[in-house]
Amino acid sequence: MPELTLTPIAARVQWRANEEASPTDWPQIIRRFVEEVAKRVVSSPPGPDAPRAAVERKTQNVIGHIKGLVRCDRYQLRVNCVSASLPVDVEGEIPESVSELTLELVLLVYGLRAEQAGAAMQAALSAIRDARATVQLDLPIHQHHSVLLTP
Amino acid sequence: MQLIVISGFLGSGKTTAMLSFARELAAEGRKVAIIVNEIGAIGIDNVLLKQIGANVWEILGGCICCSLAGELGTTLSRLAADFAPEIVLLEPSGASHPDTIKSVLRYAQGASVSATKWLAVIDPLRLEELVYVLQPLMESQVRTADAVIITKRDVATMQQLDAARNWALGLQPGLACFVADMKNPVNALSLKEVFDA
Repeated sequence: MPELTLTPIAARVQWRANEEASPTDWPQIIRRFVEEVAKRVVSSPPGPDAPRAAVERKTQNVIGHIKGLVRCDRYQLRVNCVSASLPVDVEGEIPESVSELTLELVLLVYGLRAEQAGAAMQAALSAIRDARATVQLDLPIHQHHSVLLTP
Repeated sequence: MQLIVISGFLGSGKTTAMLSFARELAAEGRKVAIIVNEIGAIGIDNVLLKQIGANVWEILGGCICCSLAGELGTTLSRLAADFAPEIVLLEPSGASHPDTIKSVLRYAQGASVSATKWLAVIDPLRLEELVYVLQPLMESQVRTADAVIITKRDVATMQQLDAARNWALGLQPGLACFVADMKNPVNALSLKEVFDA
């Protein structure tokens, strides 16, 4: 029976705005970044240990939930993404005057490995042409037991 | 204390539903505690839950159906002893297997839990896609439920809502099915009806 495994991946993405880019529409930047990450994690190429049935179905990676949080003084931004084909939900506000912030991101994506997640985030940053960010990727902390795919 | 388990797949709207329930129950003067289980080491949802002033107990960095099964029993015991709530809202990680949690609870809940209610939250927007890929997990969430809450009424189509209801009823005929909004689920729900289902 084919299976997919969920390895939660936590990342911190740090942005620093430069003077030319200010004022900065932070919610829009975060939204575009997460949209690009979502597109890339579902299309990441299958690893050598991928179940053949999953590869044949092109369901190597399935987004469970990508959720993020920015906390900045008394401001807060929450971001939720459950599918690469559905809009990313962004709630809250960060003022344009904020010059740097950190997005804490948790990727719960079946089939996704840490190195794929890192590559997806770097590619997403390139896609939104934002060279001001550095990506710090935490190690996976828990490999969930596998989930059975539809027979 | 009464235990209400709010299960459902990742991103289905469990936390939003639980927040609404907690606010509503607190407004009714009920003493409520929340146990939230996130499999990531960074708690994202707990930040929001704490902001509303709820009594929140976290089980982070694993899943209560496997690696942190023991933590659930410990947390319930401490909760009963230290806070003695009337109602406990338990949100397992969306990756957890409901059948396994049921087995864990059988041993972990102890004498302090007088009744347990299982609510399954279903996201109608992704249901077809998820059932296509993860049918066993998706079906077990409905089969173990006393009632289902189909979320995102305000953004789903009528066809998606009907399909979700029919799918759930196909798995468990006669199951109570409620439909709720995405951001404010209690708007469209009667808590009493849901909890009595």
